Amino acid sequence: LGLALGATGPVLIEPPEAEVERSAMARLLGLSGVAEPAARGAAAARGPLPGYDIAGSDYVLSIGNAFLDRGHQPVHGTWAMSRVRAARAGRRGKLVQAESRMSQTAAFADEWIPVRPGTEAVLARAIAHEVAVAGLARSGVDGGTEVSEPSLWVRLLGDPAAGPSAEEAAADCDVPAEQIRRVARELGHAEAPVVLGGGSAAFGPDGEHATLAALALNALFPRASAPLGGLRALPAERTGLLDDPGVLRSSGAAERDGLPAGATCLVVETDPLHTRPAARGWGEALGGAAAIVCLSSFLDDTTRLADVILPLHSDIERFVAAAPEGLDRIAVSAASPAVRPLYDTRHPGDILLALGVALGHAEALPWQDFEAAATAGFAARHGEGGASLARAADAGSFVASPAELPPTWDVQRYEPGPPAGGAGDGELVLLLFESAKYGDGRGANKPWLQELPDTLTTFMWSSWAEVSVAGAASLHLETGDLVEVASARGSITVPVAVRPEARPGTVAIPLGGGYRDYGRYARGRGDNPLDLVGDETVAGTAAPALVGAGVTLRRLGPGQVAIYGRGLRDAEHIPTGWAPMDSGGTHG
Amino acid sequence: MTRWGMVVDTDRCTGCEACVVASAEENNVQTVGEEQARMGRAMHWLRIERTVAGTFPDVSVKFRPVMCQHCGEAPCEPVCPVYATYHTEQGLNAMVYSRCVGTRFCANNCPYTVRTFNWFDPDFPEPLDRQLNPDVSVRSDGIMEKCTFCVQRIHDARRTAAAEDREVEDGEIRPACASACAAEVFTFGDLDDAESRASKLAASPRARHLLGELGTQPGVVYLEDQEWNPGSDDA
Repeated sequence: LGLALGATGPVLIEPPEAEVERSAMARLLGLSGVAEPAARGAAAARGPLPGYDIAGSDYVLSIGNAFLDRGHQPVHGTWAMSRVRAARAGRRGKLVQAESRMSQTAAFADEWIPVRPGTEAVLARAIAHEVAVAGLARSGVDGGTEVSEPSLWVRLLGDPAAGPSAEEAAADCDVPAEQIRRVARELGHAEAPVVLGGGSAAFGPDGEHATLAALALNALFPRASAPLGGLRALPAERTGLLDDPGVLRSSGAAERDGLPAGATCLVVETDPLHTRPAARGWGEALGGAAAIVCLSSFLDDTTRLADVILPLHSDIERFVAAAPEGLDRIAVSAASPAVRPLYDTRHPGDILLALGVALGHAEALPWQDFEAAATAGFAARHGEGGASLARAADAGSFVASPAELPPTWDVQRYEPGPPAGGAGDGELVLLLFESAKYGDGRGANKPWLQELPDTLTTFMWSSWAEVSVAGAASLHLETGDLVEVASARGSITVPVAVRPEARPGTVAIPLGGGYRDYGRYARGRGDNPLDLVGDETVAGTAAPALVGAGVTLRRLGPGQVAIYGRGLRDAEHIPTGWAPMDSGGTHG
Repeated sequence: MTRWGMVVDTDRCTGCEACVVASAEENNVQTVGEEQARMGRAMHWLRIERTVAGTFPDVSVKFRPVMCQHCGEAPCEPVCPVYATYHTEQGLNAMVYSRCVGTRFCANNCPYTVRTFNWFDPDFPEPLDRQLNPDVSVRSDGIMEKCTFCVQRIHDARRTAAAEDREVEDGEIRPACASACAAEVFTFGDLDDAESRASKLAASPRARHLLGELGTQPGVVYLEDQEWNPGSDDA
């Protein structure tokens, strides 16, 4: 519709890691026109989001991707990990999580590698080195699939044996060499290993390098008919339901190229004023717009500036046809509305179609509503064998036979940029992350999520800053104290959570606080940590770098925070012990 | 005789808390707000216990969902002066809210600290009132509440089976926590039916009771964590 209206390149607002992962996948697959982001312009193809065959793997190494916390498909990831742990055929798989902060995924993992922030690429290269020198890289594939020689890793990143060894990487990564070597050996000896990349590792200035190196590790372990091993690359034209015009600009690219001022801006179910750093210029761009028209089911920081709000059905009030990306299979979820709309609202697809028709584009938009458009799109892509969207809706979902986007092998050698500056003396490294309950902030308007204890800190109704035990001692901080976190860009106030698992020298803050609007449960609750982020980008991409900035902490005094179980811990005993079912003995 | 019980596989629990939210939404458990939550008055019927051991960099974390254990010898039952909490023939530790006078003796006697005292009259600001589950009563202030194994779903399945002149099938009843769990941590069923999936899992060598040495005979069985097993055949 944006094209039909003559828009100068619709902008897709995605989480920053998605922009980086798409860029890395485009390099890995050798997609034409994507390897050089500066030259590719508005019409460049986007790489697909990576998907992973986790359920079919017996060894899962994730370098930075907290795929159980958030990621692109956390529910699918959770189901898949339960298969890995199901001990099928007498084998229980293993999850190793390499991540600076202990996420929920890292807490669940069998082994956590607390890698120093910004060194995930070094870790991935060292693992590749150890795999190569141990002769554990696999060059042939059963089933007749051709695998290129030299391997994809060599074409992209050079001879892995020439990369850093475990000993050389150990000091950089702050990970023992023996641990790196052992994980490499376990990976090489696993029957079906898979390596996940992106996530928080994509947030840093070296994020594309880290993501690319992690994803490329899969090329060292090809499987039958799968030259990228457990990594899946599904083409957008198969995963989507509607035609992709191919000119969607990433939000990072739009910000880099300059957001148009003086134009009419149509904002559809997104909130760039809250979810993008202020330094990226959305406030100025929207402030200079001729008119802002927002399609939204909730008032948020962007809609509060709107000249016109077209209210939408909420998720459970609307017909749903979703073709999620980032899976290891092509899938469509479909559902009829669960409840009648409470207010006089519309489906966003219906509004866009009506707008297009009203503006004289009826020929290009022949469907009477979104459901008809989605039904036609589904039939065109998946209609063989009598499949239909209506049947998918009855069943709840539709899964098509996998169809992969194979690598072209014609990839360009990747040359990482110079190391980023990082934090200065006396500064802590800022780690922003998406928590399971708030996400990028969109969960903050729901009281039951506000009152849900955070996975590890058990904080409720507020954001928090995770500080190490050693760091807290040096600053005389206790859990619940209010601190000012200051960067070169700005400062915020947030309560502290002193955590035994927090990495010394870092401070980790979840996204999702500091809404100016977004309903009674989110409005005015805390500060937005994106205010600490400047206009630094992830090297090789236009995505904002959300980790790696240097910050300082200053204690402001005791705070008033709600922490689940705090009262119980103070006043009562919470049982923690196991005992065998027939035992009269002590806890196991 | 049916004996309802739950098997909880902690090896699969990622700590995502979808079960916590599902339990609250299914059973009309209201939120209490920041100030009251700060005073320890949040009313979750199910919690994720986090056990954090060690300090950076050698830290390990375990998650464990804990709800009412529906004890066969429940310490909460004999101390209630008004018989508000009692044991059903099918093994449930049940509550009669209208009898409860709020002595809180039951919570004091529960070794699992899973009972929640309700300090509030029902308050579901519009339009949150529209998501109330009509199969579950809302509770007034001054009473105790806790996990019921989603007894309304048990009743519904039994009514449906009776109308169709059959027995309730194994796996037909799924409490809200089990329905919401993508990792399939929870298995609900008849522990006295040797053929039920729950009873077979409860016979696993991994099976444990929480504080089993107290002799409370819980109806909840935990399957403890497994180690990485790359190839042996005895898992």
